[in-house]
Amino acid sequence: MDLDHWREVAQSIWRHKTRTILTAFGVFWGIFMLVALLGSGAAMKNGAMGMFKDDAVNSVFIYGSRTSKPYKGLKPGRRIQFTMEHLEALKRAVPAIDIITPRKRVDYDTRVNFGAEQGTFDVRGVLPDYAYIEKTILTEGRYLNQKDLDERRRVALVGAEIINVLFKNAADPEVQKLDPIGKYIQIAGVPFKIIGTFKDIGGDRELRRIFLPVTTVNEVFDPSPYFRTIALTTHEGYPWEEVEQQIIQQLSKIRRFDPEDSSALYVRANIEEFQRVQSLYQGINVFIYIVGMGTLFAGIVGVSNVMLVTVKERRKEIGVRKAIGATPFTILSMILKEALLITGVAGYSGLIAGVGLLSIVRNSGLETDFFQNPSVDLSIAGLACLVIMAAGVAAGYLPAKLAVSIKPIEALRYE
Amino acid sequence: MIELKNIRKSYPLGTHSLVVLEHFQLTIQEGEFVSIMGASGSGKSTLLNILGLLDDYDSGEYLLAGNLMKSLSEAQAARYRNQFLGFVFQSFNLIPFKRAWENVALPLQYKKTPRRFRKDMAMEALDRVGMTERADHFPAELSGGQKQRVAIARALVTEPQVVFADEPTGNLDSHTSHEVMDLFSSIHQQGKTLVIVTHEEDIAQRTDRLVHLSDGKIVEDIRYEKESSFGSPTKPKPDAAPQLAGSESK
Ligand SMILES: Nc1ncnc2c1ncn2[C@@H]1O[C@H](COP(=O)(O)OP(=O)(O)OP(=O)(O)O)[C@@H](O)[C@H]1O
Ligand SMILES: [Mg+2]
Repeated sequence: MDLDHWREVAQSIWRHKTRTILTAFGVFWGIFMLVALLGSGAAMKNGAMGMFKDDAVNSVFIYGSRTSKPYKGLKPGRRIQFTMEHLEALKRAVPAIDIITPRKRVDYDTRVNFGAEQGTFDVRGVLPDYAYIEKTILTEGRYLNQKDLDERRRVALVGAEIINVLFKNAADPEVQKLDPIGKYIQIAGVPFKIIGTFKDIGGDRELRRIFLPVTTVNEVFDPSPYFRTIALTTHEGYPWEEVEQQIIQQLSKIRRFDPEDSSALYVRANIEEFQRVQSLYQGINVFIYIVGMGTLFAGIVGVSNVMLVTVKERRKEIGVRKAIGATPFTILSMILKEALLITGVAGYSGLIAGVGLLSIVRNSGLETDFFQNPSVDLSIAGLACLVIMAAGVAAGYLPAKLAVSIKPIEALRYE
Repeated sequence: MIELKNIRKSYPLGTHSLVVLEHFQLTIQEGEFVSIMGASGSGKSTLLNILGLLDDYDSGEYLLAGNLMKSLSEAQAARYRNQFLGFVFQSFNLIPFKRAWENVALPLQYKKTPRRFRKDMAMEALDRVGMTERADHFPAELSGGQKQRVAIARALVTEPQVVFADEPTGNLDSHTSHEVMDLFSSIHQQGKTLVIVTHEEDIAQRTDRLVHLSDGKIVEDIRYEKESSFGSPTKPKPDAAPQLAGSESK
């Protein structure tokens, strides 16, 4: 590569610097907008997706409700509930199911106290695997285990907020100092040993929960074998739409209700909402690309136009160059290099400015739950580089063609 | 060196075309110093453009150093122009945003001469025209005569075999014109073939041979005495006898 070619290019651009800077601004702005918008889009998506981090992406909650249609001689208005046997039958029938656990609520507002400190909290009976479905994060102690279940132990996994209420913020300074693990709390008057504490990114509401072995709940609070909520996760590779149909079909067989009866069951699959939000942000991304590319295209047209004017002004110079031995290819590459240099410098400045803006936003605490980690990933930066190069070639194409078509005799005739 | 056989050249003009040269014959030997004169519109520039491979012709044959120059691609013509031919124009045609030496070095860049030699070669060419002191000046900072010297250096830097000049003194006063002609004479003495178009009798008389055009035809082809160019290059002989009969212009 001949350095002088690039020096020449820089030289001739420098002659029209004001004009060049003004038009190159279009390209700068186009890339800047593209990067800033994509970063903001990513941040909004990160915010929205953050809401799904709370529970496992593949988690499903099934709530039994009341039938609204008669079925095989059964009257409408029946309550749909499940037992462990139903749950096992469902898992056997639907191979896509991974973890499955009941969720048996004692009460939303169960009174819980430790000595004088008390509050009302949400107490639920579950299997040990439930922790995975809700993505509870153990902070101290241990999770529930199979032995707790088998022996119907009176043990409790307690949310961080409850620990705050009963211990950390207790009126008695002696209580504040206690390690909650191993202490007994009264749940509706029944003593339970704290075996672990947890946090959860789902928010305060989820930190006001107590998980007990479901078998203990049956023994202590509610002798009925029935529960109304099933939580499960699915294996990867099974399309959710099909799995959902299978689950509804099986449950309708097991619990005898019309599979078309939409009020018998309520099924909430995290993945559905995940996909919905994902496709929403894909739509937003497409929109951003259209806006960004449109701006960039306007920039390219601007550069191309100015270069056309410049080439016309330089007719004579180009004619002279040809007369002293410049080949059409030399002229072509000279003009293309000018376009590439203008759009390249402008484009990369835009890229850097855009990335810079995003990192300023990131580091300035402007982030909220709905706007998190605004950034463009490497593949987008790479794409932007390709786009900049393509923009350069596109901007230079017509001016270069015009320059090549200039005949030296015509250029030299105007004397 | 140059042989034109039965050349025809016309320019398309709307529906019909304007024939400028027809059955045109001209031979120029290596080392000749030729001037071309003629009234405006007689076809001098047309002829020079064909000779300089800046323009194509309709029919006939043009042999340059024995090679047939016919329907060359633009790239081929550019290569010949770059390596065999040099050009000097009436309006100098230096590139305004390049320094004198950069203008001179430009043909070397197109010739793909390695970078490290270019500046030295350009300075050497500037030295031949006495312009080394102005090497770093931009064209706008030079007088007409100085610009034309730089342009001549640019034409010489690639060591061409033939140099063409279309009215090289047309924009210069008579004193400067003669200085430029001194330069051409010395280049000629170094063995180059030179063809210049001019309107001025006294310029033409400083060459070896005068080709007089009228309406695209050679009406006069005068060879001046050898010594006028080889002896003292400064003193032309205004009363040199024409070798061909023909109408005198001006
Ligand atoms: N590109 C062109 N298209 C059409 N006609 C042309 C073109 N170039 C030259 N001509 C015509 O051809 C004829 C010869 O032109 P040319 O430029 O060769 O004359 P010239 O002898 O150089 O004149 P001058 O002394 O004024 O420079 C003129 O009639 C001119 O109008
Ligand atoms: Mg002319």
